[in-house]
Amino acid sequence: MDVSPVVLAALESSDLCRRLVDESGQPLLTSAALVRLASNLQWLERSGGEVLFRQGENGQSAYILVQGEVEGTIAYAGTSSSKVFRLGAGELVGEMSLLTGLPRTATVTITTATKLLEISTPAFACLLALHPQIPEVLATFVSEREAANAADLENAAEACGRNTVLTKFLNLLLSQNYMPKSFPQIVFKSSTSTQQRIVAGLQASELYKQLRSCATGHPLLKNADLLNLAAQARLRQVRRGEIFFRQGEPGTSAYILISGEVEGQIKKADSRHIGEFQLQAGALFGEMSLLTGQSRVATLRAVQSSEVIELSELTFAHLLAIHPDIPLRLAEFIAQRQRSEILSLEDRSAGDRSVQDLNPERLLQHFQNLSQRVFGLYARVPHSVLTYLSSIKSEKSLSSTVANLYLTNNFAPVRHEIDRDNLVVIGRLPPELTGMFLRNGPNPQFPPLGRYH
Amino acid sequence: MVHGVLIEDGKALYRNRYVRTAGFLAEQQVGKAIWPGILNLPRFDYPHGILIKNVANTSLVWHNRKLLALWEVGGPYLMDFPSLNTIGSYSFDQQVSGGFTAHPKIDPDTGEMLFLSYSVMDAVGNGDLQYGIFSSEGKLIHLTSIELPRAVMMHDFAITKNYTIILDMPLLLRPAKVMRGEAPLEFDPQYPSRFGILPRYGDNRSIRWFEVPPSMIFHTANAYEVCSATAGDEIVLLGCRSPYTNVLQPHCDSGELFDRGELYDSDEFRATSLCRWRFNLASGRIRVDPVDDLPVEFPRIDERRLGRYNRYVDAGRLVNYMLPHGTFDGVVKYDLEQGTRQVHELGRARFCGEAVFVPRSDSSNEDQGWLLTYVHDAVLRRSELLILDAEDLMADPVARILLPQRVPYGFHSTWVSRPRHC
Repeated sequence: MDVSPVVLAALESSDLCRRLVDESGQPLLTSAALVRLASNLQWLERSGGEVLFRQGENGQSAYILVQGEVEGTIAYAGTSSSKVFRLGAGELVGEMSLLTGLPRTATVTITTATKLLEISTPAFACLLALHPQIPEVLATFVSEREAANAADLENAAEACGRNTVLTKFLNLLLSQNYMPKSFPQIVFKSSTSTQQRIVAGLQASELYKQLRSCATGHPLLKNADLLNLAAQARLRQVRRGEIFFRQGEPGTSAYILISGEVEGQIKKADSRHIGEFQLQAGALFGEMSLLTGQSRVATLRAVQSSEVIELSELTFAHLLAIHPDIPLRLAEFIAQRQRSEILSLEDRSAGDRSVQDLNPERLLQHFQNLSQRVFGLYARVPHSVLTYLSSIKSEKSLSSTVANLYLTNNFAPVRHEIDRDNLVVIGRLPPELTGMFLRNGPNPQFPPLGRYH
Repeated sequence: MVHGVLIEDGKALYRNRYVRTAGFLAEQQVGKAIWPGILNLPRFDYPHGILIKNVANTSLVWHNRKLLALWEVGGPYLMDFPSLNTIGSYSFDQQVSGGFTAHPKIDPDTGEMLFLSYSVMDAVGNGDLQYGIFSSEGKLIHLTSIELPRAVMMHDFAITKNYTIILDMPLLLRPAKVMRGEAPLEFDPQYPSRFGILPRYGDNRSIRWFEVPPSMIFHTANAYEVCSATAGDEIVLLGCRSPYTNVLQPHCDSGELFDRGELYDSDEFRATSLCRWRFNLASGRIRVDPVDDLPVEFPRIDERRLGRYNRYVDAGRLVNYMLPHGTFDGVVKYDLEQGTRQVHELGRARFCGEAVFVPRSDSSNEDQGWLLTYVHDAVLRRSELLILDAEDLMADPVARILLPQRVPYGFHSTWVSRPRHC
């Protein structure tokens, strides 16, 4: 990896890196990790008078000042007063916009010729993932800094507590396609009151009650999982009469009703009113549009002021990935509940929703698609689907399902025996590397008989 | 099928060939499959005189200037190197018959090849295992029977300078179950996991058994001896351990064992991770310590260290969210002295196979060299051979050789260096 020693030295001597130590003062980043991080950073040189960024602009980068000095100005709306601060070599600037996605809170101008390292969003995600303790240490660092700056900022209420920062980290990692399983290091030791309400709401929900291990009956969602979900989900207060969504609208959120009451209405195409239903606290709703990408099948309205947890596609995909048994339990739960709703309306037509979508197998397919959409995974039948199939299917269709698992995508055999020389090489083959790399593997020339593994 | 990349003078050539087994040729003639896989009832009518088709698809070994394609249920197939054309089935000049392990061990000093052999179809009653050694010239210099209380699938074993370690895990072979339409392999946690340690040239009388609660090891990384006059000599074994396995029958998971409450339904119980066992030959005590909790499999080492103390282990990081079976989304290098690991992240929707370590030169240090593995990009649907600097996995790849056709996910890899066959 080509990393200039200058960049590496600048990174090593920065405030940020000096902060990245464990309790005993040992650096968290190995030299290899530093090189990896450095290779993701952009080297910038700016001359005096140039503006690095302006207050109110959008910005997704933070900067490490390597050399020189910058001056920051926070202007206050409606007054001519402002606050000025200076930052010098080694210091970090602009990290809040990177974390929050909110506009810059200050205008930063270069005072003397300055060299900087730009930390982009992917670079920051890379940093978070380099060592399990980094999110914790950085959250403390950033929240301390923000607390110190809070007095100068207008939206001091938004000043970030440690947990809020950790939540941002979590979302940042998810948005950069790091899987939930690859960052168990983010542990919410304490939670905000909002998170606590979401956790309590999740625990009281039908969803949580249904997501239990078949064998032991224990909940599949552990406390840490609930906290991680709470960090991503939104809590929404809804006034009486307010509409969550209307039939026919597109929709990408699902909801869990914590308190209050929600009423649903389904109309036929000719607008003739065909049915209504009530949802009580604990109910899950709106998940079908999230899963299928189809429009809402009902109009949902708060009958009294209510509180809901809003789950995005990302959060929902995260939920599915927490435990291998969750997809199946969830599919069964959704299928069973939706079926009873649809059946109760059947004599008055079943709206647009085809009953086919309510088959657990079909739902599992939707789950797969969702995970693929969100995490960009190579879709394959998950463990739970197989368990499910084995419980309902005949031996013959089971065999073919399992066989297909190992015969599709990149498990599929290739048909041609070829020789090709002068292959394209990215990088350079070391001259000392002389020999043949060989790998054996299955590659049936004809469709197999019986069970295939 | 064998997929090879020949690297010479800074250039690369790709070549893939079927292993043309007897069953392959018969099926090719009629244009369809004749024999089902081993989870099914064998063809008791013996078409072409064959009960079970030898697929020779698990691994490759280079020994005595011969390249063999291996499959533990049947015997090896001899391949021409480097054309990869199949020469035919190979019985070591009639010295060995029946199955042959897919993981023979070659002693880096003596050049001896140690192997196991067992027969799936005879495994109706007690297990019977053959353990043998070929000299570096391919002469059978040791062959002995080892008694097992139960017939088990035994995929791998380990050697030290002076000892051999047999893994008797409770993955039971029950061929009779196939008759009832059930799978012939079952992990049964009512039996312990046993480790048999015998001197390299020992036999069933000199074997010493160590027992631990049931767990599964498919692949070992290495084993070595630690001598201590005070604490007693120890054998250290490194391998990938899981509390349970369903690897060959993902569809037969949960079921009975869960109902009996003998398995815990937790994230951990399916996970396979690197573990260290210490067998004290003086006190008979065993210590099992996890090296790490990262789910990994296909552990490999610098093969010049086989049976000797090793500092590094390389492995593939299992993609747990894509159970039931493993592909890898990262290459892991463990430094056992520092207690640290490095992961080469393959990135979004890129998956790799087994990585093989190639030393820079005969005299270079243990991690000086390269790690080679096939990578498949599931989005671009393109395969490549990835070459990493084994000293720094976090660095960008040394080279990526783009391959002219897709290489399906497969089993084990090997490296045949040029000077050895010249």
